[in-house]
Amino acid sequence: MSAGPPEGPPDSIRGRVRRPGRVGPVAVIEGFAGRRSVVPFAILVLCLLAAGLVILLLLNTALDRGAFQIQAAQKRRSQLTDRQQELQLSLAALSAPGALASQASALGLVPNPRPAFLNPSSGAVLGVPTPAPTTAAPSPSPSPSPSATPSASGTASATASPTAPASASASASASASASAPGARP
Amino acid sequence: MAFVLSLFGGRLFQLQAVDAVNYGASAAAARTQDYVLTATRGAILDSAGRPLAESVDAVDITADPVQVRSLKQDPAVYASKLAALLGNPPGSVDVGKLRAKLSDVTTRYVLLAKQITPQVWNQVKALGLSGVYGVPDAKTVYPSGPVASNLVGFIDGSGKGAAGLERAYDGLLAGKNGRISYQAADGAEIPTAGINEQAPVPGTSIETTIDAAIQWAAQRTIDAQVSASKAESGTVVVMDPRTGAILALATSPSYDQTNLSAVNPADLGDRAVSEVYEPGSVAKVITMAAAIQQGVASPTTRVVVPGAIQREGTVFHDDTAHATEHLTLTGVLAESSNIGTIETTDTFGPDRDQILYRYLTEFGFGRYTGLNLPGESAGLLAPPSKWSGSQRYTIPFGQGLSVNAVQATSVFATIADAGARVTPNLVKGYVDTGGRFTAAPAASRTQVVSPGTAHEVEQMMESVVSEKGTAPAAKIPGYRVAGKTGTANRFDSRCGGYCGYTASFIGFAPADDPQLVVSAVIQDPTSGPYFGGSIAAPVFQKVMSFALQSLAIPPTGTKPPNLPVQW
Repeated sequence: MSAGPPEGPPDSIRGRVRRPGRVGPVAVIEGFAGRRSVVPFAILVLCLLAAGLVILLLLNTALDRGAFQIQAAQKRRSQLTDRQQELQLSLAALSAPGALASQASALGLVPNPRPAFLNPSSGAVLGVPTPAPTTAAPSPSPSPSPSATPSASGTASATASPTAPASASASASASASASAPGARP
Repeated sequence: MAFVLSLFGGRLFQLQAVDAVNYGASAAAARTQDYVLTATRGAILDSAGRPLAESVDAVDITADPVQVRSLKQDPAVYASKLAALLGNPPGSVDVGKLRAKLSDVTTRYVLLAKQITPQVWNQVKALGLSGVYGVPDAKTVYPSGPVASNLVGFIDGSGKGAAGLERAYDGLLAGKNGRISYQAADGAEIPTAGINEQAPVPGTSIETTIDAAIQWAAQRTIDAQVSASKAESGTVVVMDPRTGAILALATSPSYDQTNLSAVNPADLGDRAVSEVYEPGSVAKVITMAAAIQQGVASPTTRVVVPGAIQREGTVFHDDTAHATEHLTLTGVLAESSNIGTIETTDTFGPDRDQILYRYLTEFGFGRYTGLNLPGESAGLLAPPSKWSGSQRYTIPFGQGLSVNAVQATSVFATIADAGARVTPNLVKGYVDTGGRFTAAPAASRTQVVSPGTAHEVEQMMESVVSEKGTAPAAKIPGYRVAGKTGTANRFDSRCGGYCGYTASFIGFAPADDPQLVVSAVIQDPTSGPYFGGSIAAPVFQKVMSFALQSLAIPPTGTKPPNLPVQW
């Protein structure tokens, strides 16, 4: 309003200046709210309250669901840990030297008292390769392995040709194969 | 009236103001639950990291019979439900005992089963029996079976290591228990009252130098020989001469840690360090090394060996009677002549006894091995000033002093390692809970004799394992093997003197590139032959050939020197 008429002050100011004694209009506002119904407001508040409760409930449910999931996952973890421990123990028992030896002799493998090696790159034979004795291995002592089964080597024939994985697992620890290529690189 | 009221007031004041602190404290103590959180014990591993002894989760099942009764439950039903799950195999447990325990309402605590697996505990939990509780109680298992029980040892009822490595390294293995305390009412935690928890520190695992396969083979072989010879005991030590690492330490009779009630207490220790014996002829190796190192003899030095000699009023013989022989120094060792050995020490000069003592000490006699195993005996080696007249002449051939098997093995490891003695060691390193490996400090190494001397003694020892020597049974075709037999008179306190024998053989292979030293000692064989060459050499041969294959050590392909034994 910078470009207002320069001849006098704006209306509002003039008005106030013109009617300084009038204080009556307060009465007009009176009764304005008093006549209105309280119901819509109550409904609004109730709705807000209900909505809040529902949200709270949903929130709680969501949180609880998370807690249940955590609990289930923790239970599962502890079960899996127990299972892992159990499997590790049985693996250790199966790969114990005594267990391997009894497995090997059940396959008809015998200990080799005369080590010999084949160098795969040069084809050289190191040592004096001799067929291992096929009669029962000299094992009068009870095997210390708790899971040892009676040895079958006494009846195993010399023609028994162990499969590759068997001989690999046996030679790893029991050194039962006469021709195991053990030359180091 | 006023008097009574003032009495009440006084009592009130006493309770509220004077004793309040004490009552408050005892109330807090009554509702505070305090539990020890047991630290997981470290494992004992073999050189490949496989567990020899390991701590696993387990649960003790306990019950509160009073609670069972107050819940109007039938102890008999409880007992039969539990009995179906407990025991090994499941169902083998005594139902009557369980019922009796559960019916005993004079106590609020009964132990129903000790250290069951978590799997079984989950099954028990699923039964939903109120008043039955599970208390974590880790147990030690031996996944490889009792392969190294004397070395590993066991844990006593209070959870402390009671023998072997379990005892020697108990502090490290045990870790540090934690504790938890919280406020509880009726056994349930009071929320928001605060928990004071101090987490347990798990124990450190120990990685040993033991090779489980070689240990097993050694144990099996010595068990067989001890029972075949009806011997009192036997030991086998396998060592890597280059590092001093013990690869196997077997003793027979052994025991099973899972069945301690059946154990003879005499079998609990590790004889390889606890049992001392007179080494006999294996000690001649030290005398020969001393003679060569002192420059008074060489492998071809000519020695005239009569059938008997007299020294200080004692007449000395060789093992088998013979006429005068013309042996080289190599021949003296190969045929294990006591007389030739005594004659060799005559050339040491006036300081003979001091020279002998110095070499015996430097080769490790009379000192602890450094393995730190409980019950070790350092043996007996008197200083020269205390040597009796005849002892001066028996010591060169290994009588009148005593050693343990590891000390004796270490002598041969020293020769095998070009005259440098590496302190025997059993612990490769430590593994913390995070799996981080910390290597044990390197073993100390001292040069005892020159590499040249060691080489000459090694060549002399090869003749022992020849047809001309005392131990052709120790031969491994294709390999060069060096060693020495020992057949010593055995001091036995039961007969108050010498009775019986100690048969031994110690050797290494390949002789020109030694990677393994194996010793076999058999105490008091009573059936069949008793010579070291007849019963200990075959044990050496079996264990050595197994170990050579197991570690993939090929023969060197060189020819043995075949030093002359006669002239």
